[in-house]
Amino acid sequence: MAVAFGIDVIIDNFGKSRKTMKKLCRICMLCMVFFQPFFATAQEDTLRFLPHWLPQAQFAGFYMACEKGIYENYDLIVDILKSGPKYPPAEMLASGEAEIISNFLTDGIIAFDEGIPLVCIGQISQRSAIMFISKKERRISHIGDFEGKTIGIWRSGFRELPLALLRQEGIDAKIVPITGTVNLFLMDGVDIMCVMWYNEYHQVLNSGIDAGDLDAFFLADHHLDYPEDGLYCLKEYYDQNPLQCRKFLQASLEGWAYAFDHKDEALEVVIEIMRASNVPANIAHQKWMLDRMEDLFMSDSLESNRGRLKPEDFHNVNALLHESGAIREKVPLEEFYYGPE
Amino acid sequence: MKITEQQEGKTCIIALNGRLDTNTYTALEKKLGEAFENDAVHILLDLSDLMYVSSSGLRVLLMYLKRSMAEERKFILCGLRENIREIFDISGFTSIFEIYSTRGEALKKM
Amino acid sequence: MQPGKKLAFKLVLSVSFVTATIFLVMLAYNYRISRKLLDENIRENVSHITRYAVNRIEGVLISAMTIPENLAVLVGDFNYTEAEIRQFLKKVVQHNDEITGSCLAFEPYAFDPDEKYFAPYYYKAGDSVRYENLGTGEYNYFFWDWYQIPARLNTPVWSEPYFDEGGANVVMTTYSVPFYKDGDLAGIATVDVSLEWLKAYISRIKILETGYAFVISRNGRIISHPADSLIMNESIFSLAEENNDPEIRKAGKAMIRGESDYIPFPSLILDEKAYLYYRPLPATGWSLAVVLSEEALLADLHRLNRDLLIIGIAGIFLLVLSVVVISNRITHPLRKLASATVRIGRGNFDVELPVNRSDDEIGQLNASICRMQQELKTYVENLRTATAAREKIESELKIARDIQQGIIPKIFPPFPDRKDLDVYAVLEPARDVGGDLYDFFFIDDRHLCFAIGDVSGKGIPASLMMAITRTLLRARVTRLERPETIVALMNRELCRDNDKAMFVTMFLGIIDLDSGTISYCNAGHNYPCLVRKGKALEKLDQTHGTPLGSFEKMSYGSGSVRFCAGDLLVLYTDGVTEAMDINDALYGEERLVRFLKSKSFEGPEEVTLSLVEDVREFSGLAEQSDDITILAIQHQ
Repeated sequence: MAVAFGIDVIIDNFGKSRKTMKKLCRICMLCMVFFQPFFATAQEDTLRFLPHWLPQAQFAGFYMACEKGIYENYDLIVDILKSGPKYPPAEMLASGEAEIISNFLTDGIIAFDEGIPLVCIGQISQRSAIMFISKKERRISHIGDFEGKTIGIWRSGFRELPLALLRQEGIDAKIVPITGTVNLFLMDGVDIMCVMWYNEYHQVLNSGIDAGDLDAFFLADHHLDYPEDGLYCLKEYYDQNPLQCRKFLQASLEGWAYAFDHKDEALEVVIEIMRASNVPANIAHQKWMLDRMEDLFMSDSLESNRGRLKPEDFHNVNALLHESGAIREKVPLEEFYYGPE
Repeated sequence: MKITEQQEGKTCIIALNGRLDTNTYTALEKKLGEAFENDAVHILLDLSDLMYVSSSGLRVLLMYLKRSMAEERKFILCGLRENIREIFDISGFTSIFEIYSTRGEALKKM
Repeated sequence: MQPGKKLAFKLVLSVSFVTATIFLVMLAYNYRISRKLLDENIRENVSHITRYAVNRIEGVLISAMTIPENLAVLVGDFNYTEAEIRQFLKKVVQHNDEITGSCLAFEPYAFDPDEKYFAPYYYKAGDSVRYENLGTGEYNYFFWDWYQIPARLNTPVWSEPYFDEGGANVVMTTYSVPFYKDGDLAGIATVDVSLEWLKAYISRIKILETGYAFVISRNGRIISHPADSLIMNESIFSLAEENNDPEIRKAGKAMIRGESDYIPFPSLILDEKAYLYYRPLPATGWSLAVVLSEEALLADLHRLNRDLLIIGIAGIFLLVLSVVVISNRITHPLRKLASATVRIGRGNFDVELPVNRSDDEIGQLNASICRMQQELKTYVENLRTATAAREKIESELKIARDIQQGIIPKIFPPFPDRKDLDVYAVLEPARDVGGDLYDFFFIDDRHLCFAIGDVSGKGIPASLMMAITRTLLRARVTRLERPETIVALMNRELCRDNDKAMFVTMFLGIIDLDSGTISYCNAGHNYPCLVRKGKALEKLDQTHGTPLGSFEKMSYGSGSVRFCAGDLLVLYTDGVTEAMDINDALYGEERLVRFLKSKSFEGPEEVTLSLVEDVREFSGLAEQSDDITILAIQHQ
C-alpha cells in the first residue's frame, strides 16, 4: 500500500512529495534517535507563549486566538504556558523556556537595560490603567494631599510609573511595598493604594466599598498615559523567525478582536483556564477586566496603530526610566523595537 | 255615618254624624234598639252633624217615636240643620216630633 | 327555566356564593396568621441554629488563636536559640490537630543581628511534619499579607482565606499575632488553619429541605458554601454584580459590617424567592448566613392550605348537592301543587292533589290547598244554588216591577178626547224596585183626581206598599170627596198593622176644570211647582200632615189654588231633587226652580222629558239611586 501510495504521489506531484518526505524523515529522526529528553521542550515548530501574570481576562485575546484556531490559521502551533508570579517572564524568556512573552513596556525596557537580549515585537495596550485610590473618609481630593501619607505600591514591576508621578508632583510620601493584594488598603493599613483599573480597583469595589466612597487618580490624567502590555521575544529568535513573530502579533490581535466581539464566550474560556490553574475566578470580575481591556486597547481609534508602539510613547517612558535611575542608559528604539512601523 | 252614644242621667244621648240613608239606617235602627232595651228612659237624638236624611231614615225615627209613645218615654230631637229641618217640615214630621234647637235646651225638657 | 328550577338555581347560587366567600375569607385569614406564626417561628429557629453554628465555628478558631498568642508571649519574653525555636514549633504543629502549619517570622535582624531574614516554618504534609525556612531574599516575607498587615496594624489578624499553595483546592487562612521585645515589634507568630472542616460543617447545615448556609470573609468573599464552585471564586459582591441585584450588595455590606438581620433575599442557588439570615463571626470578622427558600418555608403552610381548599371545595360541592336535593324536594311538590292549582283556578275542582303527609311547610301548604279545594268546591256549589235562587228572585222582582209599572197609567195622552187637559208622567225606576207612584183619573166629567207619592225605603216592601197605596186610592175615590178626607181614610188603612212604620208621602189633588181650581192635601210630600201661564212660578208649599201610615190619629188639612188655562202643574218625588252627581252634590229644589223658570214649555210632555234630561245631565256617570217620578198637568 505504501509503495502504491508513493508511486501515485510521485506521478501526480513530484516536487511537493519530495519535500514532504524530507520533513517526515527529519521528524522521525528527531523523535526516535536523538534528543529524546528534549522532545517536549525543543519541538521545533511549537511557539511557547508566556503571559506576564496569572491567567485572567487581561490575556483573553491570546486564549481566544488559541481556542478558536486563529494561530493555526497563521500556521502557528502555539502553547500558552502556565503563568503567574512564579514564572517571571523576562527570566523565562532569557532561559529559553518561552519563545514569546507579554510584558509591561517599563519592565521590557528595564529588562533590556539589565542585559536580557529581548526585543519588542508589538504593543497591545495603548493606555495606562494605573491609578491611585483612597477612601473618601481620608479626605484626599487631589494629588497634593498625598504629601506625608502612606501609599501602597507594588513591590516589584509596574512601580516605576506611579513613583514617577509622585516625583513629578514633588510628593514626599511613605511608600509601603505591597506584594499582591488590596487587603492592607481595605484594613486601613495605608492611606492610598496604587491599583490597576482593570483589576485591583474592581476587587476593592467587590469587597463592599462603593465607587462613590473612593477618590480615584488616574496616571493617564497626569501626563503619564503610557502604553502597558506588549509582546517580547529574544533578539535571536526574532532574527531567525521574523515572520513567525509578525504572524503571532497579527493572530493575537485577531484573537483580541474576537474576544471583544464575543465576550461571553471569551469569559467562559478565561474562567475555565483560571479554574484549571486554581486561581479564584468569577464572571463579574473577569467581565469588568475584559471591558477595561477593550477600553485600553481600543483607546487609539487609529486602525493602523493597532499592535504598534508609537515612538513618542517609547521615548517618554525611556526618558522617565532613565531619569528615575531604573535604567542606566537610555535604550535605543531601533535596537528595542521590531514591531510594525 | 258615625254614631256616638253618651249617657246623661236617665237620658241616652245619641249623636249622628253624616248621612242617614238606605245604606246607614240599619246601624241607627240597631243602636236605637239597644238603647230602648237598656235602662235609659229617654232618648235624645242630636242631629247637629247630620247632613242628610232619606225616607228610610225618617222611617226609623218614626218607628222609634211610635215605640217611645207606646212605652211612655221621651224621644227628642235637637240641633237640626236647615236642610234637615226642611225635610221635617215638608214631611210634616215637625208636628209629631219634639224638636229643640240645641242639646242643652233639649236636656232641660227631659 | 321552570319556576321550581329557578328557585333551586337561586338557592344554589346564593348558598355557594356565601359559603365560598366565608371559606375564602377564613382561608386568607388562616394563611395570614399561620404565615406570621411560621415567620416568627422560623426566625427564632434560624436564630438558634446560627447562634449554635457561630459558637461551634468560633470555638475551633479561638482554640487555634491561642497557639500563636502563646507563642508570641513566649518568644517575646525569652531568648531562645534557633534549635529551641524549631523544636518548639515542630511540637506545636505536631500536637495541634486544628492547625496545619505554624511560623515564627522575625523582623529584619531581630533574631540575629547578622541575619536579615529568620522565619522557621513547620507544616503538615501527609502524616509528617516538614520544615521550611521562609526567610529567603527571594520570598521576602515582610511584604506578604500574613506578615505585613498585623505588623503595620500592630494587632492580631485573621488573613483573607486563600488557596493552599500545594493546590488541591484546600482553603486556608492564617492567624498572625505580632510579638514584641522591649516594646518594639520583633516579629509575627502565625498558625495556618485549613477551612476544610468549615466547608464540611457548613454543607451539613440544612434547614428545611432546601435551606443552606454559607460563610463570607471580611471582604465578602465566599469561603464556605454548599456549591463548591462559588468558594473563593465569588464574593457576595460579585454575585450581586452578576445578578445585577443591588439588594444583595446592600446585604453584603451589612454582613461585613458585622450586623445581623433577617431579610428577603434572592436565593443564589435556588431560582426562587428566599430569605437570608446573617450573623457575624466576631473573632474573624466573617459572617455566617443562612438562606431559606420561601417555598420550602411555606411548604407546610401551602400543603395545609391546599388540603383546606380541597376540603372546602368538597364541602361546598356537598352543600350545593344537598341544596339541590332539598330544593327539589321542596319544589317538586310545589310544582305539582302549582299545576294543580292552575287547573283548580280554571274550575276543575276534582283535580287530584299530590299526597303529602309531611308536617313541614310544604305539607301544610299542601293540606291547606286541599282544604281550599274542598271549600272552593262547596262555596262554588253554594254560589250556584244562591245564584240560581237570586236569579229566580230577580226574575220575580222584574215581574213585580212590571206589575208595578203596569198599575200606573202609562198611555199618553191619556185622555185624547179632552181638549181642556193634558197630562204627562214619567217614572224612571232605579235599579232596585222603588216605591214611587203617581195616578190620575176622572171622578166625573169635571173633576180629575191626581196623586203622586213616595214610599219610604226601597225594594219589595216599598213596592208592595206602593201597590197597596195605589189600590187604596182607586178603591176610596169612587165619588167626589174632599182630598183631606180621602187622605185621612187612606192613612188610617195604612196605619193598620204597620209595625215597621212604613209610610207614604203623598200629594193628592182634585182639579175642578170648570171653576179652574185645585183643592189638595199634602201628606208630607215635596212641594209641587205651579208654573203660571205668564211664567210666574208658585210653590204649593203647604204640608197638611204627616205621610200616610206614619201617624194614625193625624188629622189632615187642605189647600186650594187657582188653576187657569195655560197653567202647568209639575209634581215630582225626591228622586228628582235628591239626584246626586259623582261628587254627592244634590240636584236640589233651587236648580229645579231655576230650570222651570228658564224657558217656556210647550206642554206636560216637553217639561217632563226635558226635566228628566236635565237631571240625567246633572247626575252624569253617578248611578241613579232612587226612582225619578214626574207628573205634569196642564189646563188648556
